[in-house]
Amino acid sequence: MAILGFLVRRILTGIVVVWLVATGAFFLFFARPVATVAHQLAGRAATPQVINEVISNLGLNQPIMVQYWHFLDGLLHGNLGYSYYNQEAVTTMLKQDLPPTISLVVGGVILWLVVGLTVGIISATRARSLFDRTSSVAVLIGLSMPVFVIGELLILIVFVPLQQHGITWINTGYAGISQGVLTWMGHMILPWITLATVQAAVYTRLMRGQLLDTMGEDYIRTARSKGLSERRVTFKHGVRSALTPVVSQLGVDVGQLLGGVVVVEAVFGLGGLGQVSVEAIDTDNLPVIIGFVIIAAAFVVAANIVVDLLYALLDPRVRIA
Amino acid sequence: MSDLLESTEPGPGTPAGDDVLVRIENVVKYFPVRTGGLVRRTVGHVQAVDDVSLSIPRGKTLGLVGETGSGKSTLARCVAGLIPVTSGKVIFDGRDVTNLSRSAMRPVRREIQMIFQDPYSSLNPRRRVGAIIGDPFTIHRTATGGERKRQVQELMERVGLNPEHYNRFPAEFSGGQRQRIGVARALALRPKLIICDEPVSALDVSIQAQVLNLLADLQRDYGLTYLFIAHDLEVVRHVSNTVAVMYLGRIVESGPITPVYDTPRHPYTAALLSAAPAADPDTAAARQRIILTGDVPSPIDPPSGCRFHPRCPKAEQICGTQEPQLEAKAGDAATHVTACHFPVQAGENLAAAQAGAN
Amino acid sequence: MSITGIEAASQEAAAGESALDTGAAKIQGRSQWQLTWRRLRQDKVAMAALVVILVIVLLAIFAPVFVSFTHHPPNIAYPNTGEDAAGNPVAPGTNGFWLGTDGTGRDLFIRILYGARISLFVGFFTTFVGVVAGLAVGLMAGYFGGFVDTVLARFTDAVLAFPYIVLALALAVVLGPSLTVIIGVISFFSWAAIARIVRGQTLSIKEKEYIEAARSLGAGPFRIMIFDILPNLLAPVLVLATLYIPTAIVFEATLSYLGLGIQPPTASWGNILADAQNFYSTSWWYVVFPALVLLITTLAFNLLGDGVRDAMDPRTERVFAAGRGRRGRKGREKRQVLAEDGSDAAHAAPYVPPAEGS
Repeated sequence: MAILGFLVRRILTGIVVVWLVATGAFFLFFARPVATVAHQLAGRAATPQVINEVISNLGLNQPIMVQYWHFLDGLLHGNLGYSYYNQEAVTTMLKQDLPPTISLVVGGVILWLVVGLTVGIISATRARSLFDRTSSVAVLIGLSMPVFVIGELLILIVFVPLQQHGITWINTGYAGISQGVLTWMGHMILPWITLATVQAAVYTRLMRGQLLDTMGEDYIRTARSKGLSERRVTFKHGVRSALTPVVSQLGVDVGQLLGGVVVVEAVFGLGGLGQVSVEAIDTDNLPVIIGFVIIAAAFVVAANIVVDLLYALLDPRVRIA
Repeated sequence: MSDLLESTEPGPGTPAGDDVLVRIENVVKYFPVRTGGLVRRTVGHVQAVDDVSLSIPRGKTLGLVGETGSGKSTLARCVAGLIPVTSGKVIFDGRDVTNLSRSAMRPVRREIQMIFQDPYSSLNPRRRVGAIIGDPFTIHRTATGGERKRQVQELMERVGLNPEHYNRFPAEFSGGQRQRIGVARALALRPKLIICDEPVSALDVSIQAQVLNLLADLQRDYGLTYLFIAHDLEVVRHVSNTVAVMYLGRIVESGPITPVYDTPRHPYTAALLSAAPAADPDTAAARQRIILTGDVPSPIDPPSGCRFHPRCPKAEQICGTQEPQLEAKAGDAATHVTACHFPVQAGENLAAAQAGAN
Repeated sequence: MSITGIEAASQEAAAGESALDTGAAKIQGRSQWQLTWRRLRQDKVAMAALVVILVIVLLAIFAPVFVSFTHHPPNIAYPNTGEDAAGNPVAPGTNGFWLGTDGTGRDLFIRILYGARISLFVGFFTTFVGVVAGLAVGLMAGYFGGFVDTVLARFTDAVLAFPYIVLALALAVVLGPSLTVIIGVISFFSWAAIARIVRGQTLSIKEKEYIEAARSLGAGPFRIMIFDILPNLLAPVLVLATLYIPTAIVFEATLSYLGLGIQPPTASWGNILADAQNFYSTSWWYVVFPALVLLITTLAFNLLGDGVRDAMDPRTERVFAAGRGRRGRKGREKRQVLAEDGSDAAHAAPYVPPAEGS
């Protein structure tokens, strides 16, 4: 029952946060001279006629608070605005662009968590072994690399040679699952690795450090002396406690994740939300960017709630607070 | 060298001839106990200091004795202005210095200084000793540059440190030397009052003697007044002119050293004195220890009436209901006051009374 | 009694102490910085990293010199000598292009050098801003506590969790992509991590007795923050700053890669690599060399940061420092352990002066 109350509170806070972000974005974009705004909304190639159309359609000449009210109203009805450049509603556009992003996020997060935590655990349990030392060199290199460099190098080293040898399974660009799971994976495997690498490095180091600290604690010694197998001791007791700081780090890393998603989409041409938003900069496409900002905020909030839930599940002390 | 022979003049607010430097009047200090969480309600108070009145004569030393938790350190910090008092007054040199704002307190700070207990944590490990001792000069802008260095080195010499160690770090000194650094720092602005919060408790016994002798010398040379806090009775006897015994936030007995030590009136004082180790094995064997039952109660919920009554071998019903006043008991000088309904009489054997009561 | 009896012995001890002191005339305490530098010097990996960084810095500073050698300014395209028949970049070594050319026939080596200028400038500048702002926020949040702390700490947490890409996009749309946008975005995030650590350290340092001593001397909050707390913070902050520089450099490269920052034709490692994507199959050098330089730079800063961290605190587990190459470890194991000169007083036992010449 306490969890329910906790959940409700967090969701309410989350809604407030999203609202704040949307408001901030709104004023950042729209509290500027009407001509500037209109020009951006209409898109770079717009004629003066289109611009005037935009001004009247969107009521840009109205007082800012009136505009704000309409904006909020639209948000509540699921309307994120209209992209003149693309000649379609932003919501429609973003819906189309969602699948690649989701594929990327889900696959990437799973890969990074699995690899990161596993390598971290093994490194900690076999501290100073060859495995440990090799993995920490790998970690250091992984940490030093920008995501897009990893992506580019992977393309250069894996994709290009394979293409030259006629192997086309691994590909850039996106193919939905509807085109076959294998095809889908072929397109996603390199992006997943790229997204996961840096984060896996961070989490390997984190997990290793935490687990080493935890395993040195007295209650672990007690468990061992009770006769529990080493594996049981490590997983049931050690990992469980070491996991809590890792989980709380996850919450903070959602922001990094978003950035990584955008970059990986750009590198591999996946055409997801991120890439579309970045391209919107080139074309001064304001509505798309506003849409992205709001969706990003909602995603970060949702992810944080999930993380907090996980944390509460792992650490009973938190539930009481 | 002439600096060293200067003595302090009376403060501006003091009527000529008033020889009381510090007057502590009915000082009360409660710390609120709050629940955690978003809305913090006060659920109780730690009654650290509960209506204490003392006076410290100019140029003398008042020893303040008590166990951990008796409130003596809290009281010291109230006098030094480091924590605000809940009620009551602190009169320093004729001026009311209670709860002054930081800027109003600034000039007073030149005259009241403190020496701390732990020589290892009372000095900033990342700063050089010269800077640490020179801090008072910098803060109050009384000396700069070369002049400040000269004065700091003079101070170092005066307290028994090598002035050439001006640029050393505290880590490079022993415990006793660090305490001397603390003394030098306190002495820098020639204060009138120095509050010594258990200055020798953390030192080896042989070093304790050196530091205590240093403090005695400085008192003589500069006319300093000391509020000397300790839990070791023998140390207090060695340095103090008057002594006050604190228990759970209240003074239970106070007066000149000799009467209090020779004829303690309060059972608690008697118990403390009986527990102090005696160097002479014969004396130790002859002495009968009064062992108090029970633990020190919590200052959040102190006992009613006389706070000592749950552990007192002489307690009777009135002790639990009526708080005894501090007053001179029969046969004592007017300055020797005790707060007890049934003070210890001459020749009374408390250990026997305790055995009888049990 | 006990004290006076031991006085004779203590005087002997004192005499012994001062004999030692006068013998070591005019000794300067070694500051923690000197000690850290000595330890760092023996860390081969960190020293190598430092050299690499210096080389890159020098190359960046003297970029114009290389322009005069090669006669290829960074933004000038050479379609005749710099592109092959198909309009693709030429390989390293052809026609006086040391590392080949980029997509429009510009000298890749020169552009990499100029990209280094941007990267290093952004790295150092934003880190500097972050350190100053982070120290200010962290110190104030930690020292003042209460409402100030709640507000500042919440704000810091919000900034830390904020997705950088959203801010970068928003600013780029409103202001147009540029160096200013990059510096704004990176600086916005750089202070948060530092502030959080500084706040934590301040909270624990604040409770130390030497801070109380400073207050009792009359020091105001800002004086205490700057002269007493800050010196204890410099070590961890230095490590954080060294480790943040590569983060900032990667940040800039990423933003420029996405087109949100430095716009072509101005060279930035990010936008070079963005264009290089179009020439994977034909011109591997266009991808490899900029990527390599970026990698080496960030790796060097990371290694140096790790090395500085280890050098600051000799008690860290040395045999295995996460991420260190084998060479580094062997180097450390062979190294003799420096005498513990009491660089951290909190852990030091009373100082025993080392024999001369150690």
